[in-house]
Amino acid sequence: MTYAIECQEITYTWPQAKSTTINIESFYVEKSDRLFIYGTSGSGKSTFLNLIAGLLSADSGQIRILDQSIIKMSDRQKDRFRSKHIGFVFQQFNLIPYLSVEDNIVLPAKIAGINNVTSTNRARFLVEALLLDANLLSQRADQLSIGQQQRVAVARALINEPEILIADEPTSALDEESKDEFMDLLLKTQQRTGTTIIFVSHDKGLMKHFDKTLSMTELNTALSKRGNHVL
Amino acid sequence: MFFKIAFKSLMNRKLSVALTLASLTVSIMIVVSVEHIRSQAREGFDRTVSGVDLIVGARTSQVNLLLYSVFRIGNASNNISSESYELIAGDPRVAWTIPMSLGDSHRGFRVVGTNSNFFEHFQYGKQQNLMFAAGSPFESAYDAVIGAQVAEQLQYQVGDSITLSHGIGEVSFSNHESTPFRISGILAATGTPVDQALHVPLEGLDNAHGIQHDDHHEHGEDEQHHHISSSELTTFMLGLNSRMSVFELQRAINEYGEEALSAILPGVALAELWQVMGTVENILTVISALVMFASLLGIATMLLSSMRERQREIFLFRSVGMHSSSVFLLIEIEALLITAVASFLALSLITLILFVNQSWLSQEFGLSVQIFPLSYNIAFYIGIIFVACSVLSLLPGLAAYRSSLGTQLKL
Repeated sequence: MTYAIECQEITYTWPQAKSTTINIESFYVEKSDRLFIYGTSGSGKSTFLNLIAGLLSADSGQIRILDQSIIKMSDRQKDRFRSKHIGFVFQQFNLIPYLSVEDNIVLPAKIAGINNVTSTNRARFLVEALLLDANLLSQRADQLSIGQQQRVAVARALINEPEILIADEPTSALDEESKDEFMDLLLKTQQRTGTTIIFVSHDKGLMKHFDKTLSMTELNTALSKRGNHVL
Repeated sequence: MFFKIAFKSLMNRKLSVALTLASLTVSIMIVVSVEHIRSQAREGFDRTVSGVDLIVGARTSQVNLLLYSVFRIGNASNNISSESYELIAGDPRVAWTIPMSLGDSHRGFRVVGTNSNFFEHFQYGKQQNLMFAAGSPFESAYDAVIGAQVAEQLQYQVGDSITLSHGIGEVSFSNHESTPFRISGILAATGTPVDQALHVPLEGLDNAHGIQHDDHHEHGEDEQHHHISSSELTTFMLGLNSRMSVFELQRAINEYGEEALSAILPGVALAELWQVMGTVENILTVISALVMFASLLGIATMLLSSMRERQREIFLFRSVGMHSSSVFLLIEIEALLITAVASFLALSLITLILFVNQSWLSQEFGLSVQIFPLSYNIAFYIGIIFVACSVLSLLPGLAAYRSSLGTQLKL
């Protein structure tokens, strides 16, 4: 069994910080897993996701994504690797406001150099799977409702058929009704694509949608150490 | 794809982009017009006289002599006596002379008393002879040959009758009304002061003056061949048999003891006169460069100040796999797009303005300008503008680059 993500003994300290920000002994995610990570602000989740995404470099330890060590990659290689294998959905403001919905969705494909026919076909599939009205495609992204924008963001995150989707609080800007609809569509789409999902949220109510859950406080041993230190 | 993103990003900030574009367009227009007018003026200037070896007049500076003999600006301080003229004209080194008597006018245009040598030997531009658009050179003492602009502006045709005025004002109280001249020919346009002059035979002019001022004796028909000896000239141009003797003859004329004369080489005098104008030219160039610099700073400022609001955008580009250097490139492309559009607008506007004002320029200033301003020099300036623009937008570009380098998933 190969893993989607393997982390061992990683540590990271912010340049001006007095104590270690991240200390994770081991973290494994299997392919096609749906993992929910519970974390509040200050738990180090954003630093952790930045490390996985290769936007920050760990001070020590091993990070392997899809069997490749990202520690050894150059910045440019990381960019390329990220655009090909990892999709992101953020809390809000996911889209370039002045581009059309369609341009937003296919943007990562264009950057990755995927040909137009392929990316158009994939976009069509995703738009249909996420129940987005085809009439929306030509509209400017900032004319959509937040619920629609978050679904477009999922479509964009999946356009390059990444093995891993990192969703960071994607529902926090949505009302209850849209939240359930979003989760439903996200997970149904995941079933069809087989993408590994890492879903980070402080909303415990969303845990029910996931097979595996993990808490940032369990994961990041730096937190307990820091706590001890303070005491 | 970059162009599409850059374009849409600019369109998203329509107002500030439009203002920046307007300021850049205006400054490119200034740079291009200054250069265009300079080169056109220079070209027209160098075209005014050619094929003439020496210009002789009463002793004065070479610029002054050039101004009144060729450009018909200002007046001679003194005339040349006919004795001196005949002596020089008779010199074996001299092939031909064009005598000129200035000082009369016709409805604001200068009148040049001369002889048919003028049409035979005077050259302009690249050794081009004067051509007749209609009619022919002088056939009698009361014939007049008019420049293209005179004909156009006063609506004269061959055969029309005109009278001259003494002095050079548009309105004169002493008109030579009893001696009308008949237009025998109209010269083709040259783009030189010749277009704005009326040419009449010296003997006709003398007669007009003779009748005007009663103290002169009247010239009889039989005296026509001796007209030169009975009147004074303002200036004359001469051509040599061999150009080798030009300095020798110039010195001889300048050192001529009987009368204080100056002989100038038109090419040298033109260069000196242009140098006088060169200061103005340099000031204009410096001012237009500064205006240009200011509006390029404007682009950089506009892009730089947009960086704060665009941090999210840059972050998103990065998160979908765009490299930091591509983010940098995107900002540069935005700046260059504005410059390209501004250059296009500026050139089109200038072409349009010149096209609309072409006839006015030629009537008021005798400037015959080329309508489309794209010359080698102007292409060079626009190239420099592009380079300066990309250099100045390094600043916002680097700001974007650095901001994108520090990009993290801010959660």
